[in-house]
Amino acid sequence: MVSIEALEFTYDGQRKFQFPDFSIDREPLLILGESGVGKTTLLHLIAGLLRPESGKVSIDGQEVSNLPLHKMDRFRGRHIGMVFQRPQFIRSLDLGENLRFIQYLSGKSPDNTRIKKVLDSLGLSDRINCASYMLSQGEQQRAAIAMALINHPTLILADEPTSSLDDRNCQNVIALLQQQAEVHQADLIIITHDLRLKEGFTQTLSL
Amino acid sequence: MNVLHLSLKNIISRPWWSGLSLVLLILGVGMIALMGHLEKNVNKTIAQNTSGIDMVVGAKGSPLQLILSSVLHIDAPTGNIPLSTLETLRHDRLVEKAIPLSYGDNFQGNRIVGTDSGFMGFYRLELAQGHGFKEDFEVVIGESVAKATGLKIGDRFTGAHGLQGGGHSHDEHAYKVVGILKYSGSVADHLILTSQESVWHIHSHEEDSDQKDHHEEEQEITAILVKFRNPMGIIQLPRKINQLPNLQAAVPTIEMNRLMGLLGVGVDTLKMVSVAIMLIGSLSIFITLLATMQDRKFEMAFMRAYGASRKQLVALVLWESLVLTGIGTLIGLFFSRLGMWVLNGAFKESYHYGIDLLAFGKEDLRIFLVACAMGVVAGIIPALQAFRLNISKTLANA
Repeated sequence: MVSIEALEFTYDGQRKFQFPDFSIDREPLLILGESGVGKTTLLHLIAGLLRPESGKVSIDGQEVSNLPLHKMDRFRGRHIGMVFQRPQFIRSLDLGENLRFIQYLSGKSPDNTRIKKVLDSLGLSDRINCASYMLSQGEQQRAAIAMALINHPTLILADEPTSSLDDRNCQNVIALLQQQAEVHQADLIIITHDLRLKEGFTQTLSL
Repeated sequence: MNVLHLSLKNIISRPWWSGLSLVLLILGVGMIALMGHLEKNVNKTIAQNTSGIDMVVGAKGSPLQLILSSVLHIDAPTGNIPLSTLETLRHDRLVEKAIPLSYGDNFQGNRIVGTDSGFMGFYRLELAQGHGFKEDFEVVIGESVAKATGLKIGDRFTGAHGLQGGGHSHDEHAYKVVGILKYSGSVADHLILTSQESVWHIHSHEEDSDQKDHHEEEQEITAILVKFRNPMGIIQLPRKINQLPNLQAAVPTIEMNRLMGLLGVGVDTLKMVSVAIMLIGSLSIFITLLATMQDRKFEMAFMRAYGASRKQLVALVLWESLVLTGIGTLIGLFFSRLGMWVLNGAFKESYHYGIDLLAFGKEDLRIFLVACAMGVVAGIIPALQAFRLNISKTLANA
């Protein structure tokens, strides 16, 4: 359950963004918009990586826009999983260690069964000891989803997860995200300028 | 898997950079610790062996040489002085003790010293076996001599002329071991003690057989160790003796301070070079962290997005610097002891001085703490960059 209300943000006192109110509950949301309309800004506001100038963001009944910084870090670690346009990993760790470290960051105790389960569901079990930069691009994209899911998030935020993928992989990734969100009973918000995605979503929002 | 663990992984993931920093730290720390340890041991050895000796009287020459030869037993003597000097000194009311020393021979590089029974009391020596020397050619040997040569009570051996190993041997006169000393930590461990008469007999006999000048010469000794009755001695006696022809008085503490002052310049220079190397080691850690920050920005922003706090990123960077410095310092300290071990072999070979090896002291702890402080300093600026990282902007540009 995510809702935003009268959200506003200004960069350097010049570029002002106002975002329409919305609220979702278990139904995946696709946010479409051209470059520069503030899609990533909106996503970062929801994730608490940016502070809104005014307005409210609530996740599962918790108003996050005014949480102190360290509490926001903790909240993000426990409740939000993020997928980025280009998959990001900690370079010096292998895939399994990356997942374990993300578990550690959320303050949860290490859970190898969970790691195994998530990797299994994404077809990556045999890559657990592989250095992140040795994974193929398709594997990296799936591994990025594994990172987002590992801590049982209640909200998955995906920032242009498909822009660098071909049609077939694009469909696969979106299907995976939707399927995994459903399995994990998490809210899913995807922002993109990729019109290929429009068909698969019942809820869309254009900025 | 935690922040410390990740910092280790990060260090390992850049082996060349980490290796360079480690080598510099090991070299710097190793040299500093080695210098410190060496200096401490030399000072200790000197202090141990000069304690109780207020003044040394010998033939004119370098006072430092006189001290080195007759107190530390590592240099050649300056020459001989008449035996009558000993009597004169013993009658002086300012002198508490005066011990004669006569050199001439060695056995396998261990000096044979002609002296009297006062020597044992002077150095507070105790016998482990046997009794003190009474008759001519009876000797008492130091603990290290017994170990090195394998001589036992009742064994006989002949001395070789000179103070180093080899040389012409006096085969016609054999010394007999009658006593072995307990370990004392002083020079006496490396000495063979006998009566003065033994030393005289060997050499006068030699002259007889060589049919050289036959006139009665006054008996001679090499040096006299003196302990004063009161501090007045140090003021009056050295000056008085130095005015006499052919005699000089040297004060061990003055000469040793002079020696350490001379050596100190070299030691200080080496220490300064080592500190510079250590600083360069820290600098290389700093540069590595700073240079890799550009690449790691994204991974750090990503970690923040997954719940890492700013504190954790700061800790990560500081740990990387600190762990590297700590490991380098510990290996450096270990290498300093390895160096001591090697030097110790050489020392024993040429000077018969052992050095206690593995004792880690306050000095090492201080080096370790200073190095760790340097590690923190090297990490501060990169850590601040991690602290100030703009996550949103970095992620948007990733």
